[in-house]
Amino acid sequence: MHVEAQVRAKLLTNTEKYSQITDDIARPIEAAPNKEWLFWTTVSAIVMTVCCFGLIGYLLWEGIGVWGLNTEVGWGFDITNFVFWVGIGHAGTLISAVLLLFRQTWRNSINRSAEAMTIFAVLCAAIFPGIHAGRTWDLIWFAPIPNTRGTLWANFNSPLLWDVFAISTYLTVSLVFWYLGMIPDFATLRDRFTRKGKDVAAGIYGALSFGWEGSARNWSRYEVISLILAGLCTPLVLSVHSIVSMDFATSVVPGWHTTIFPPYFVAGAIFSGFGMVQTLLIVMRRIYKLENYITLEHMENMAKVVIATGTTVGLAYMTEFFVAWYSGSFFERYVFINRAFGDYAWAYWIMFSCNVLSPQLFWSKKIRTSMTATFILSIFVNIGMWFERFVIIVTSLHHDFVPARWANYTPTWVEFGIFFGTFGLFFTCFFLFSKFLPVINMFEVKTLLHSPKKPSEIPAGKKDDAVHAH
Amino acid sequence: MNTPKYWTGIEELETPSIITGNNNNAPGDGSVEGDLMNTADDDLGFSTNRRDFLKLFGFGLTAATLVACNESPIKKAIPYVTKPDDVVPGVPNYYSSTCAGCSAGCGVMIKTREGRPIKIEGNPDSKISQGALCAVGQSTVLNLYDIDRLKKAQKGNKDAEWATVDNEIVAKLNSFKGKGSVRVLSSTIISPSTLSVINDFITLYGGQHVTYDAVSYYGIARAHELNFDKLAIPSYHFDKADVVVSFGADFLGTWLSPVQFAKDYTLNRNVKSGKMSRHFQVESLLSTTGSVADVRLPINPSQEGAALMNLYNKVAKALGKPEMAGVPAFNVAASMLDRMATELAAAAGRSLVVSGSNDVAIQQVVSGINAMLGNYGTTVDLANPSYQKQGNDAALSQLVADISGGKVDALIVYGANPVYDTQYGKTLQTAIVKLPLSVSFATKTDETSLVCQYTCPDSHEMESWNDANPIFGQFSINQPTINTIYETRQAQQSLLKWAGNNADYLGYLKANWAKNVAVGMSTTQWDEILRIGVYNKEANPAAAISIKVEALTAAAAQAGKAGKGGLEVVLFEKVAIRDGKHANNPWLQEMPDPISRTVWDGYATVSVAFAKEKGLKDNDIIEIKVGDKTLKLPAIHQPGQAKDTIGIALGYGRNKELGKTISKVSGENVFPWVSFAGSNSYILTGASATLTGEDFPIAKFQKYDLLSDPNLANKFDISGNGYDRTHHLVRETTLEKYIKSPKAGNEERDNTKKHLITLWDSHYKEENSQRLIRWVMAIDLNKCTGCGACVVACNAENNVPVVGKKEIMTHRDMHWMRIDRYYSGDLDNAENVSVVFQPMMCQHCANAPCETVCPVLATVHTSDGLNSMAYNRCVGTRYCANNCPYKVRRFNWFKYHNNDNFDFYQNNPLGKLVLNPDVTVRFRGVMEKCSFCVQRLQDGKLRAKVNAKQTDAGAFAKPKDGDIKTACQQTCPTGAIVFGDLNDPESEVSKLFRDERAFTALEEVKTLPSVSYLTRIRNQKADEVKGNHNEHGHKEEAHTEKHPS
Repeated sequence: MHVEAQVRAKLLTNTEKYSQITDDIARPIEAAPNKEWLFWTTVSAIVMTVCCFGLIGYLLWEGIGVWGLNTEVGWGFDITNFVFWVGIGHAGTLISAVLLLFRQTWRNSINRSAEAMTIFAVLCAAIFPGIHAGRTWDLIWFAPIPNTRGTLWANFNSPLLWDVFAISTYLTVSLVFWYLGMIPDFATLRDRFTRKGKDVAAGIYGALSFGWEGSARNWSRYEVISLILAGLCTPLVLSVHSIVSMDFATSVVPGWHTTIFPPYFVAGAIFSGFGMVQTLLIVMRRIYKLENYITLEHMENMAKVVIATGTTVGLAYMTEFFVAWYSGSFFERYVFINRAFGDYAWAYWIMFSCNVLSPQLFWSKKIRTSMTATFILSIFVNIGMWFERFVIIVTSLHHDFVPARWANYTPTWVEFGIFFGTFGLFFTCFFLFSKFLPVINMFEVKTLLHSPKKPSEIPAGKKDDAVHAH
Repeated sequence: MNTPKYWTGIEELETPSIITGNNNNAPGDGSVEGDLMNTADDDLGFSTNRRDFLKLFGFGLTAATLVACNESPIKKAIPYVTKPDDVVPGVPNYYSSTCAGCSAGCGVMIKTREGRPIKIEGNPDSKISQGALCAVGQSTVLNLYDIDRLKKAQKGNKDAEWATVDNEIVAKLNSFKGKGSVRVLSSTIISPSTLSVINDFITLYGGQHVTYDAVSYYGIARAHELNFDKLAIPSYHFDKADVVVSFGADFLGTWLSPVQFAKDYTLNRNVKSGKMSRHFQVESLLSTTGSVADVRLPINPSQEGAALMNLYNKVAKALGKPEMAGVPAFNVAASMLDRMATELAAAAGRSLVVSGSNDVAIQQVVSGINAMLGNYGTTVDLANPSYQKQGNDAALSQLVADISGGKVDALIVYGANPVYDTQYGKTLQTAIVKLPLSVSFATKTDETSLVCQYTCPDSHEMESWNDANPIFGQFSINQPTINTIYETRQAQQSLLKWAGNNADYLGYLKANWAKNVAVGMSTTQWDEILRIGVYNKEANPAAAISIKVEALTAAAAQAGKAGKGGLEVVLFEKVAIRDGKHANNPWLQEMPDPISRTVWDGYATVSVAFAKEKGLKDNDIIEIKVGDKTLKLPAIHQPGQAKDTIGIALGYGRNKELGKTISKVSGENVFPWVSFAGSNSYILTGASATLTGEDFPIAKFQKYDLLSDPNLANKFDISGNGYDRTHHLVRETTLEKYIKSPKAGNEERDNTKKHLITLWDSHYKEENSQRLIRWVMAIDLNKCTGCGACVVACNAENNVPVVGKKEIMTHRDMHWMRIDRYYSGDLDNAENVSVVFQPMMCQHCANAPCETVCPVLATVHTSDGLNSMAYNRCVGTRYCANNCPYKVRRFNWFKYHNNDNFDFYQNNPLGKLVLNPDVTVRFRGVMEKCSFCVQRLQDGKLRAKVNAKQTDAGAFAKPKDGDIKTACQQTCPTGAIVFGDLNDPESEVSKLFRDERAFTALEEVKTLPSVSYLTRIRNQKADEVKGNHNEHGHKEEAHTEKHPS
């Protein structure tokens, strides 16, 4: 049972009929690919192939030395990009799982693309731990499987190992959750294609739909498994980035060795995830004309989450400084002063202004409802969050304990190229998704069509029914 | 599925799609299972069945297998068909020999494995090396495997047959017989038998043997000739000197016999015994010796004469002896000179004054002071002179004149490269070509052999027989440890052959020994000499000496002459590169200079004041002008350097076509800037320097020189200590304070220890600790001179790759051992900085941060306390290196062997022969680091067990303390490194661990390192203390307030 405030504005605008929803959402899938889509998909695929796969090939052939890392700064772009992409992958689960549990139905029209984004982002992220290792081909040793190598076993003390489990669990659960949510829509598409006599498409979507029948039993199972998965996902939202943060927090490196990292990283991840969702949705609703489903209210809600998490992150930055001072730890203090005023101060202040200052503009409703402004600010959020990871990793390592081994890190073109290439991978996946899969959850959106109703719209004596809708 | 299909109404039956595709509302038995069963396989639209899947799977597997069936290269290991008697595969043989890295003549032990020399160590029986060796000595083994070595005799720089070359040379020599026009030009030869061979040769053909040294010490010999009528360099005994005053002599780094001096010097610096010599260093550039000195005084080189003469008079005054007349004023640090004079006079007969100058007059004054103090016979021994430098600048100058004047028909160059390393290079280059006969014995083509008609490549010293007599009465043997790799012939053999003597040089040498050295020795005696490697005769008793006063008076007039003003250029030797003879050795090129911490390229050093004044940044190219000479070099600023001086290292600017390594080194040759006036001078006055606006990057191992970050942290100094991390890494105090309390400078330790609590007490208590070994190392900061011998020894022992300048620039050096160098003191008074060295390698922490973060357990702790690294298991996440507070882990960014991008010794089959078969050559993508020479530890443990088999201890036998030495420890000329078992309360290292001076680096990180450092003690009076000491005092007080104990 769920109860809604009856004065709430409609979540969908200019939408009257269920069939209209189906038509709108199925349109891009059923229509021939337009030129714009073909162009951008090709560009993304080329970037993915050349920059991501090509340069990774070069890296594997030559060695990690083609990057700009050194003895002191052992991680740079690789782990920065990893944490960046994992962070982006956060909003999807948050939106689909946590908001589902909290019965925030406004999420219904954005959860599909947010989840897709999550999966593609985690795929991009997963590349980096793989290729950053000196001997990628031996990464199987992370797996605690029985082997012929004597008593050798993975080291469960190492946060890197936790990472492997955390990320793979997260990816698996997200993937299942995402796929499961699409099954009813696949069935819809199957039926539509069948009706049009397009057998191949019908066959494919039929196979994807796992024989969905739309029976009451189907729906009942569906709701149950959705809730279970949502329940599973919710702790994962917190655990994944907590564990990623432990890659740093369990070390002895000043600037990494802090207990604030888990909540701080989770807040940052949600922040960056929502930033990325904003970026993508603003583009998508415009291109696919989905303004009626992804409404201004959605965008406003997300902007509010961005303010909240951005401010949380800002609080974390300041807490770190306070604790560095309060701890009396000599090395800790130095690292934070060096962070804000040392060789990489420029990166720190980019981070600070993008993450803490720029989201504050969302307090203004005018900016919140301006899609151009939101788009620009969401890009700032993404830039800022990338720099946050860069600042944490590089500034802590480059000047740590022994001054004789202080060194700076300058990335090479290969690092820039691979990072750029992962955007190719991400957008290739996302474009394919937007063309071949329903970008909005049709059936869940349909539940929003007649809800909420204004009290005047509810016939007398039926008020109880309205409350019990869905 | 054979369940019947029900329909609910006629419409449904008529619409086939509903039944076949979507029988969703079929009333089954009501159970979920039943519903699920209703869905048939073919309803899902799959056409692939199990058989198809298996077919595809089988095909894929077969295809993958076939593709993988690539033929892998076959490598053959061929066993001995007939095993040589003295070779046991896997067991090294050691041969005593003599180092030929320079002419100091250190006795060494050469380690060979399966017939190839792989490592060189000092011979403990040698009075010169005393078991230690310097960086250059350590690197000589790599010269043996230099791919650029000549492989055959050369005629006109083209390969020729030895017989042809011999015949032609002998024919020509015969035509000059009796004309006295044959010249043998060599660097210092300390081998008596070689000298005898040359003598025979000269006697036969008529002519002269001329000796010179690229960096000349003739000034000392000539000064003694003028003062005492004896053209000789005395031998020095730093162990007997309680007060050492050195004027620019880098006796711990490059001067005369650095290993011997470092050993001797340290003997008298043992604070534990309460006796520590006082060391004053007066110099223009900052040297390793200056860094170690208790009191250091920077002066311009032109002021040295004046300073010494003032010192002479002050000492004379103190001793009540006649003073020198005509002494120029010297106002730089008169009070410090007073102090030196007082202390020298107080330690008369137990003091030593040395000077690195090659100026005869200056050396006369130095010898005058020593004579006045009665040091001759104690610390300066002229009765048993040193033969380590025999060069005669005047003779060289005469030879060049003779060659140019057509008085020379044949020039035979042995162990020398005068076209490169003398100021006469240009003249000789053209003149030698015109000579009727010119022969070089160069092992590698060098600038001189390029212009010689013939090159008769000398064998490497490890392929040759020879002997050495570095100091009167001290002999050593040079044994071959491998057959000649190429068609080379040792020079002595060539000379014998050309002189018509077909004897084997070994026979000649033995005969010479039987006649002149170990008179009438028997075969057993000879075998014993070979075994020990050294043979010492009784030293001459000290003879009474009397200085010629008139000579000293004449010197006074010379020594006091002032410079021409302007900047003063000092040409100096770097610890690794020295005179450039070994410039093709990649180990030496990649050994960071102890002071500037630079590698690979040549540069000029300028003072900090000069750099500030000119707005010069490091790596800016400056144009240096002296008279008509100019050159452009990148400059780096050097704290400690006297204000108006420029230092330029010798040994750079070799012809880049001469070798693989040389071709990668840039720089300028400044030997042409040497001038001759009675003796060679390495100082130029009246210079000017201008910025050119260009720059050239110099690779530095260490970019930050201070233990604080003055540009940044001081601005935000909340705690009042300037973010100075000195106490976290290095601790120091003065002798006075140390005598009062041995804990001085290390008081903090008790407090830190108190705060190092653990939740797992039992974790650190080892059961049966008496039975187990816990390997630890103690490093005495007071003894370390930063000379870098350990670094090269480590590289040689552990197959550490050379990575080249570009990689060093990106901070990717692979050295397992490094010597951090820090300056302290007021930056505004940068001339007077004080220096501290800190050898740093894997600390083998008991609580190692690297171990916990490795996901695959590639780095784990051993039961004997080592932090070990399993290369095979490493996947290369680099987390361990990030988490290492000491930054001692090294990652293989590339494959460094068999890779043309790293064309150093590991890229050619010859160079690879130097690899230690006991140590893995690491592949790319894995982490590596200091292993405490685990191969030596395992060897020692096994030996102990084997030896103890017959006795009671059995399997728990431990090696005796001192039996096992790590490579760095073994070669350290000052014994700064001590290694052993902490669980043995009697071991030297466990005693040092209990010493009040012991502390560990970054103690509060609680890594519990297995390496302890001992406080640096400076023998300074309170007013001589520079740098941060006062601040330390302040800090200590503050600390006490915080933690009243």
